[in-house]
Amino acid sequence: MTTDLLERERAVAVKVVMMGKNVTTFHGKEPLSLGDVLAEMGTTGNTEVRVNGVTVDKTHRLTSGDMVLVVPKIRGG
Amino acid sequence: MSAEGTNVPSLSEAPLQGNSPDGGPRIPSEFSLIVECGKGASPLSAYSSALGPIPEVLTHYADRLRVPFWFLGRKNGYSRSLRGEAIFLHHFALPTPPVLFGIWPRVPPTRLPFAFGYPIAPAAQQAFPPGAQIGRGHLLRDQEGQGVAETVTGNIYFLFNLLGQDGELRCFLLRRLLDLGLPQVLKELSTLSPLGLEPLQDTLETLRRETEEAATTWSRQRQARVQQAYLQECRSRVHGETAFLEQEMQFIEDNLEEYARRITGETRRLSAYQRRLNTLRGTPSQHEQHLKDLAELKELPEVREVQIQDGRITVFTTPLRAEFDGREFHLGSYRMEISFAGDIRIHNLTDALGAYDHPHIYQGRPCLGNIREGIAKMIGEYQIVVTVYVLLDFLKTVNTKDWRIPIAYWQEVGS
Repeated sequence: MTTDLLERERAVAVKVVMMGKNVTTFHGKEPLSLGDVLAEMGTTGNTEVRVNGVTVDKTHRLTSGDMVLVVPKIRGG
Repeated sequence: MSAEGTNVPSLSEAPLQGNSPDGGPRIPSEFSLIVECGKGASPLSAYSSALGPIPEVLTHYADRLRVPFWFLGRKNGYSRSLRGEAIFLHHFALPTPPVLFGIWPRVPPTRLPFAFGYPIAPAAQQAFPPGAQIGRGHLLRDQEGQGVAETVTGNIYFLFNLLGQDGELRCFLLRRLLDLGLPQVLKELSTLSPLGLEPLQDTLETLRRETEEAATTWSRQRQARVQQAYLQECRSRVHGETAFLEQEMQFIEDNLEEYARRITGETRRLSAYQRRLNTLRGTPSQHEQHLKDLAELKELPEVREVQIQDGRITVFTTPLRAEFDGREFHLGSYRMEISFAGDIRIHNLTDALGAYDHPHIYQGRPCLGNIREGIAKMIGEYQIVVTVYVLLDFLKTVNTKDWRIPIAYWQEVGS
């Protein structure tokens, strides 16, 4: 029981929006970095990534409730 | 003045034959034009305007050489050589009959597309070819080897239709013919002119150089006119194609908007089915998440205010900047209207440039480029907050390849 609670405390749930594809909730264990999520989601390098609307480094540590937005490099028409 | 063996009426006495295609008086098929020199010469206004620059050129040569000229035209292509107190110029004629008994083409006509390097008018390319028939004169060729004239003691025969050419070309062709032919009748010139042989030769050389210089100038002018016409044609084509492309782009834009609306609708249908499925499976509602997202949206530093009414969410931004080429530009504050049906309008409230709200927005209609479908899907999924994130990124990004107006028109930060 105690182990379960500890596991739940350490779990991190972030919302991942891959524009044009899907919106999912990603569950991972602390410490969870942006790079971990991107590697797990299989994103290519030709995208731009924001966490809560801000550009951050791949080593940025995510916390529960963060929103990761993955968009292609924007090219207005 | 008298000439042996000619009773051709002067041009002023000859009957005019209707009108030429350009509306001017037509040159009669038979004529003679006498160009005197010195004080006895007629004023240029005495000559028919249909002759174009012929009298002017002949008067100039007559004055300089102090020799009168007779310019003759015969309708059957045969003009007897004359003797008298003038140099005789026979227009488009031979010193021997080209047709015998009215039926036998002794000298069959040919075509002369170029004379002295100038293109001859297609409708007037008839010419007499060089030949060895009895009575033919001494053949004169232009620099390209084309037979263009013949001389017979004091007479110069033009072998092509000089008067069929347009005015400017006539002038240069006549000058070239005179420059080519007069040295061949130098003996007769020296007997007619009070100038001596050497001054005559010098004058002929001077006239030839004048012709060269005038021809060079005319060539440059013609080239300039051609260039101007070409540029005009290019501009016209570009203008036409631009109008076509703008029309097509507008059509495609309308189509894309329609497709975006469809994507939104279909995505929404998919989401509705997903929600229904989740409900059936006992998944909690996403309403709480939507409310949380909206609160996050209001917290964004670029968002000044959010309003929701009439089926759309309206977001007012703070003044935005975009970076391009190492420089930052002040774009102004925007109002983004995101319709839940999928339409998006973005208006620049403070720094619009005419109909341009942004390098990629014209009259409030954004050209979303590669994110159009993604945006449409996100609206369909009610991911409005994420949509605003992306649209804010869109506003802060410019793409030189497809922009409608360069960002340099906006004020640079710090300028």
